[in-house]
Amino acid sequence: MLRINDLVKRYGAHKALAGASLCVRPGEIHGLAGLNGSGKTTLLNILFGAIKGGFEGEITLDGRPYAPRSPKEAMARGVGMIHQELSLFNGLTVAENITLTRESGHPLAKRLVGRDFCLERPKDDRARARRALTRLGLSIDPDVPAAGLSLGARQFVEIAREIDKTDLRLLLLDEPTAALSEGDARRLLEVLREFARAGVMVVYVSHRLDEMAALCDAVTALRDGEVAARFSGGCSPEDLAGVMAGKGYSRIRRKTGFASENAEPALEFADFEADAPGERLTGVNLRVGRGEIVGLAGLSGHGKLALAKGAMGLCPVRGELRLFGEPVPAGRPHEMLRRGACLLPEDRRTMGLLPGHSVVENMVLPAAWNTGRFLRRFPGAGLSFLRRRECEAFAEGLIERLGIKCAGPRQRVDQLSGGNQQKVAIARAMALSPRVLFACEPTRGVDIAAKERILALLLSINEERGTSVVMASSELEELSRVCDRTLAAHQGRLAGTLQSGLSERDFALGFARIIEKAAA
Amino acid sequence: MRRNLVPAVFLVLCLLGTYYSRMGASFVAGEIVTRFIRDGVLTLSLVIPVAAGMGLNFAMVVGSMCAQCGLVMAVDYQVSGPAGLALILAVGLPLSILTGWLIGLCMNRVKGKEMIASIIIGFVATSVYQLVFMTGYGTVITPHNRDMMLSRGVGVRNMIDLAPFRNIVDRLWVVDICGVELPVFMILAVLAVACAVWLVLHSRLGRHFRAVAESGRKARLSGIDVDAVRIKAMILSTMLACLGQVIYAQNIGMLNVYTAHLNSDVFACASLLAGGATIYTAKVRHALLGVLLFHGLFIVSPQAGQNLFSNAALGEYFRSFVAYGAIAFALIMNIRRENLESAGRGR
Repeated sequence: MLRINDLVKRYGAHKALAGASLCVRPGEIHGLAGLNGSGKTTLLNILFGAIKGGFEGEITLDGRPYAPRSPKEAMARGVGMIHQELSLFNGLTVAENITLTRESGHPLAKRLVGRDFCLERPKDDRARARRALTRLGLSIDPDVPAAGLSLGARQFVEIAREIDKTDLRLLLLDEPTAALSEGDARRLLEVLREFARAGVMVVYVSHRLDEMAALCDAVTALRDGEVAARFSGGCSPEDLAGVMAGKGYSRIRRKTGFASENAEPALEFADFEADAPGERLTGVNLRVGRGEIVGLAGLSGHGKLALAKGAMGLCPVRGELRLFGEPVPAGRPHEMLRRGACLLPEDRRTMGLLPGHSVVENMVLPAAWNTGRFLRRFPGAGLSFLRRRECEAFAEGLIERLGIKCAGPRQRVDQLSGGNQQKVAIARAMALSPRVLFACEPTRGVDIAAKERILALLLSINEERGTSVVMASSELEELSRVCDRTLAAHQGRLAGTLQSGLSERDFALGFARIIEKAAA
Repeated sequence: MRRNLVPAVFLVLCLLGTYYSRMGASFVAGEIVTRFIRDGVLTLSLVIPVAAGMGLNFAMVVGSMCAQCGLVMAVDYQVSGPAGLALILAVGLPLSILTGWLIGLCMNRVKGKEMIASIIIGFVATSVYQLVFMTGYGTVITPHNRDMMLSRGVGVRNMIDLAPFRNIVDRLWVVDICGVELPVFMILAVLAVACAVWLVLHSRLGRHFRAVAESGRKARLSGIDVDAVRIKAMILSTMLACLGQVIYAQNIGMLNVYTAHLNSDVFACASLLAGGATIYTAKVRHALLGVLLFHGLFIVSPQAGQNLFSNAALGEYFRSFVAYGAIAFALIMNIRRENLESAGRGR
């Protein structure tokens, strides 16, 4: 039994958790719902000992007080965690990853030279890994390095690691299905139910509310670090969404008849081919009109992200690309930026933002470098200074308009939550005043309120300035609402087109039909 | 092919150098065997920190200094033979455990910048060490052996004769093959240390080294005490450096009290890199191969330089050119290779 009483976690003056209480019985799957920054991940990290600096409040696990200072201590009490960002080691094999810190060793050797210097026994480790993987119904070779595994497989290897723990009491999961396909997600949820049947307590955090409603025995919804509502027994996704957002939120939609592909072309692809790592797209013949929003749907790895990277010159390409009628040299991102094209990358931490820089610097620097905006002109652009006051005024305006939660324009961007970082990345794109915007997974890993806000922003950029948008996303639902037309990528080719104006259900069915036809 | 580029270049240079130096093959082979014994363990001491993601441990000179403390004490108390050897190790090894622990603590505060920190730690430790022997002996520490003291009574002489220990283990089980003397026992001893390092890398601790090297954050979340693992790596490295310096000094037979340790880090690093290691990956075979290649080049290059340019001063210059050139070349080539490989993997 896990009991949390009045948990408070402070970061300076800010309270990430402000008196949350929670109770999880053995065999119970307990959902934690809430927007970004509501304290879900903080709560999990406290339970796993991954947060430094202590906390206030009382936690008991199986009747004994529990206050882990490191993941090592948490594991000693039978607590395991599966992280949002995968924590497998690329350099170790699957078996080594699964048995890490619980390595097999010869009992005699353990006594003679101590546990640390005990030789590895790959055969035993392999057997254990295979046993755990078989229970998941997977046939991954335990000897391959984790580096080569697909995202879904990596997630399952992490689950196998938890299965291999014989003393697991409490399993914490932070967005385990965010990177999984629907089939994989279903299988994972089945495994979680098995854990619960064996008497393990499961605490489950996800943005996918329908999943949570179907899986969890009880759900606690957090808002601003406090418990906003508790549901035991059944609850519907709509209930959860209502409670999380606090006030009514509306789902935005594209106004119909705004732009058409027959408008003057902004982008023209002819026999275009882009070879991005892990994503490849060939044979693209596509015209994107001025002011048009074109969606790219598809499963991960099927090429929907390659088009943007190829067009911006971030990966090897073949074929022809014209931007506003003029051919574009390949492999020159700088040139693309200068001509008014801009990329909102799917991986904002490594490609989108400068994590050590402030919010204002992230917003204005690309524009300053590429277009000379915000610069006090000096002979030789390299010697120009930034107009600080103008930058900060610009940043403050956007912070207000986009609802970015931060202490001010000078806060470091890596201290913000994921959704707010994404908003900063969009503000950065807005500073460039792009005429063509490539958005890759713009709402990945952000909560429903932030998602609506981001989609509304993309629409307003498009409507105010006539910017053409090419948006790649794995969420059909958002594409159906925002895009004028959506192309489905399958196995590296554009397999079909979905028109706007369909209901979400028809849209999903249409997509499934295109994929089936392409596979046949 | 790319993987073996650096060792291959060194091999070609070695062969060219041997040809132009006009030295006999048996002479060069004999010299290389001697250098292998002398420097093998010192080079091996660098493998573990690289495996633990801490880069080249230039602070291994501290281990060498620990060994020299033991040597000076043994000369001071005039304990010779195997008993003296035992005393040296009894002083040196505990001292190196202590200093290794302290270095490890420092390293944990400068994560990501270990190499530059270890260079500076080496310099600081050298100053402290020199102070102790220059002014401590004869004032705070009472010397028992007047022969090793400077005539003014304070400070140890620059050069100490290690006659009681000279070749004390080198002469065990020497076999003569075609005019090349092979000290079989010592070769086996170096190989045994190599084996021990290999075993450590394949133990539970070794797996933790690899995990910590890949990502300290992930390792902590996997339940590994990252700081403790890194300290253990530094302790093992410093202990091996101490053992290596004992072998080195008894092989040379003289101890240059203030400066003998100074180049041990540069030469050991150069050897390891010449064998194909990088600052991210090092294996035991890199160390063993690298000692042979680097010291082979080191032996023939002065003579080759002199023969080619008929200038004796140039020959000596060639030596330091080879040492630092080797480090620069190997670092650049190996890191380039690593970047290419990771780009090839596509992530």
